[in-house]
Amino acid sequence: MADAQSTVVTGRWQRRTWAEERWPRTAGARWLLRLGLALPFAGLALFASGQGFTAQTDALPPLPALVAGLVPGGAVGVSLATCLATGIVLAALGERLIRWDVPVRIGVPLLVPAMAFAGSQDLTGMLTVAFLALALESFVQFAVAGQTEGAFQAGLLLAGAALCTPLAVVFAVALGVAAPFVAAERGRAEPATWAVLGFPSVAALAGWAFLEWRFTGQAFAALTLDPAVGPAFDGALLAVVHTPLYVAVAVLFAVRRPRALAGYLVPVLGVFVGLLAGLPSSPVTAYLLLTIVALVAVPRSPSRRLATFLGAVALVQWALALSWPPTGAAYQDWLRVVWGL
Amino acid sequence: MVHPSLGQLLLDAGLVTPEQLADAEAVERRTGAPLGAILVASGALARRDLFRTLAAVWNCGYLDVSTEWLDPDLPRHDPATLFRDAWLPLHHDDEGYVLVATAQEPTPERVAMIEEAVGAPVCVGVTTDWDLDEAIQRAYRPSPVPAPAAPRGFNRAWLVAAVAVLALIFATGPAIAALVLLASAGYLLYAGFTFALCLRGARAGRPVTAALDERDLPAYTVLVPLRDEAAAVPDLIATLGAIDYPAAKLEIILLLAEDDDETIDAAHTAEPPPTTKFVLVPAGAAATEVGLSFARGSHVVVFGAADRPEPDQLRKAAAALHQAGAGTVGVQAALDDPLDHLVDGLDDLPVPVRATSSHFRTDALRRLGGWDADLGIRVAAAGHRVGALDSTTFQPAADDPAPPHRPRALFQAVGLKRALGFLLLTGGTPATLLASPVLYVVFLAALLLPHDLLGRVLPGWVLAIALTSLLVGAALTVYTSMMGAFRRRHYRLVPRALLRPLHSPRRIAATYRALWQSLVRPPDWEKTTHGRRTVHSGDRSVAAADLG
Repeated sequence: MADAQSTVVTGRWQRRTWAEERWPRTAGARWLLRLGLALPFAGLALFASGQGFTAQTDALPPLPALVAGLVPGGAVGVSLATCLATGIVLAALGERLIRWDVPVRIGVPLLVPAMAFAGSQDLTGMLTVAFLALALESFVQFAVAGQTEGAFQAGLLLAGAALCTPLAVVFAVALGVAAPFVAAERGRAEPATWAVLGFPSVAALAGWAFLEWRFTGQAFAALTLDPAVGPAFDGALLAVVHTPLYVAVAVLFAVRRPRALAGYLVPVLGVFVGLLAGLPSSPVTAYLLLTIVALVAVPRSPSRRLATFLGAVALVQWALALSWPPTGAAYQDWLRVVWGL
Repeated sequence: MVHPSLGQLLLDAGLVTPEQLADAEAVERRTGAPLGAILVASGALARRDLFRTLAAVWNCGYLDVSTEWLDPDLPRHDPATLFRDAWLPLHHDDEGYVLVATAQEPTPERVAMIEEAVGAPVCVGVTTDWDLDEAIQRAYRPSPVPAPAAPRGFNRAWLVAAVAVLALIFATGPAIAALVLLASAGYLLYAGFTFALCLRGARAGRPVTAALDERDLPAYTVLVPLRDEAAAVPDLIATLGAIDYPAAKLEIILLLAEDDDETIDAAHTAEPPPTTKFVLVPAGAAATEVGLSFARGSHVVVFGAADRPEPDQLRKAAAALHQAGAGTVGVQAALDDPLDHLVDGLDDLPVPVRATSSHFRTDALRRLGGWDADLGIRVAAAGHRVGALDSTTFQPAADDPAPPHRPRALFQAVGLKRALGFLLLTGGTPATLLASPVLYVVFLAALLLPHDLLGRVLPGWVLAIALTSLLVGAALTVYTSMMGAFRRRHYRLVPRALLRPLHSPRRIAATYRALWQSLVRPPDWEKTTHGRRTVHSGDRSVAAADLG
């Protein structure tokens, strides 16, 4: 009896490198998209500036401080730089969704005032969310799809995040721990994976600590280790409740790839540890982080039924965010000064 | 006329057993290599017995050229042509014919070609290919070239005095700040450049080549120059014996300095594989140049005495060159230096070509003039490229300074942008090593000295730039090493990359020593010494006693 021909083929996404899969295809078109997505936020930033609202430009972590130091125009310049970063993040997110044949409408939870504030005023928050979400995406590329360069990108993006918040090290450690459970390719030595994922953020944090110590006399002045487990747990739970889309995708992981769930849940752990360590964070940042992580974690080419389900959950989250918005001190200030709310 | 079968003749003469012949015929069917070469490579048949039998098959006499007289008055020919066409005129015989030795079948066309070249009637005899090569080398031995006058170095006392005077002149605040800024910029630039190359290589992905069928594998020549390497010979022979390539298509040439009796004796004692040929290199001649003229393979590679290539490296190189097309004249395997994989990211830059572990098409390499420090530039100037090979040659670390290049010629050959990239890649390492002590001193001062005391020498912003450059540059260098090892799946080497900064003092000292030697006694370069190491190819990782 003749053997049946194999119906298992290597997916297009497994055969092509990232460079071959870029969307839009040309660098010029990609930059146009980024600028186009940044424009509405730039309008908001200029409007807020006209209303007398100024973005925070002092006591920033190293990377936002570097950006703030390099861009001209003071607070307005920082706001515009924030808008550009937002454009880059949204373009990357859109590219990811389109490359993976995920309906873009699932991104509707980002069309909320919290996003308008963060995307135009909160440079640290936006950079942190961008680095962490993209790091998680790269980690998935590495661990699930077996693309080696994903590990390097994840490590470097975590280093970028570490220059915005020490919390990135928690992500690096958690991803390193999760890697063996998620990994598609067996045989990678764990210490090597830990080193590749964790070294850049640890080095960035150590460098930051050394320079801060050398020039101010103390390191990590912003860290106020206050192990209040209860409030931290409440904060993390609140972030999860605010993001039903994140929960829905977590259920998908639990059903389809229970091993990968360990990596997917790392952001919640990060929010919890961040609150526990007293790091500057807000429900707005947590909302954006979990939402973007959920969007980049939606399975490739979802079925019509799944896409409809996720679209409905996204709509619920959007309605929830409008009726019961995540909030924070700076966000409240922005609402009051700019919109009189 | 129908020739009798070579196999049958060997069998009839009792030179091989039926089992040996059957085995060799099986290999012949699998690899497409000539039957005689297979029997010789397997050790079943002596080379001279093969050619004696071939002489009978070809209806010719057999010549032992090692005992024949070479007439210096015969017209001279191009030795490369003689090597390629495998013939050599020896002398006139008693009847006035020119006696010619050949290692290929003397068909009427070949005899006519030889007569035309010699300009006289010839009498052809058969000899072995190796004996013929040796005879050609003997006949066309280059006349001893008087050694060029050694350049005189600077007087040590004057040099020390000059350095002291310069130090005194520059011992001012602004000058020190300028020096620190310059060192910072250079350090960061080089670290960033290598990191960007590495990232680019990672994005490009590993070169993947499908293995070639054994019949399509080309004849390969492995050249191994040896001088004062008697101690390394046993390990080397074991390494060469482990090369996974059809023996009948593999030619290994040990290039031995003719005055180095110790290494020659060690090579004889080590009993190398039957495909190993010894070539004595005359004093003053470049070993690789001599070796290249002897190479009969269509592909050629040089390995050093301490090199341990992965066993399947030749197969991979043959496949990579086969798939790459004619524009790619060579492929370089990586050394286990974690930074060596940077060639993966050098797609449009001239690739610095190492002599060791660079696999070339032999004809192309001959046209390009063979291996030297400028080969990479000549390759780029000719519009060719040298690619990266997904294979590693393990070797102990060496602290050789970068080879010299003539910048003006380089700019003219490949253009400004590519020339700058090339210079940064080749000269960046020694330049960074020479500059980095400045940053280390600043780092130690920042650790140990009070803020206000250091502030009198260096402005705060200069200190911030220097410390940031050092920390970022060191982190990038470590991560570049990690990426290299990780990409090549040498996972055990990844955590070791963390120790890379600890090797900096040794590398800095070696670089300064090299600089000092080049200034005070230029001709006296120290020979690189290699440690011993063990390579486990099974898990593609390295267990080493003294990793550099």
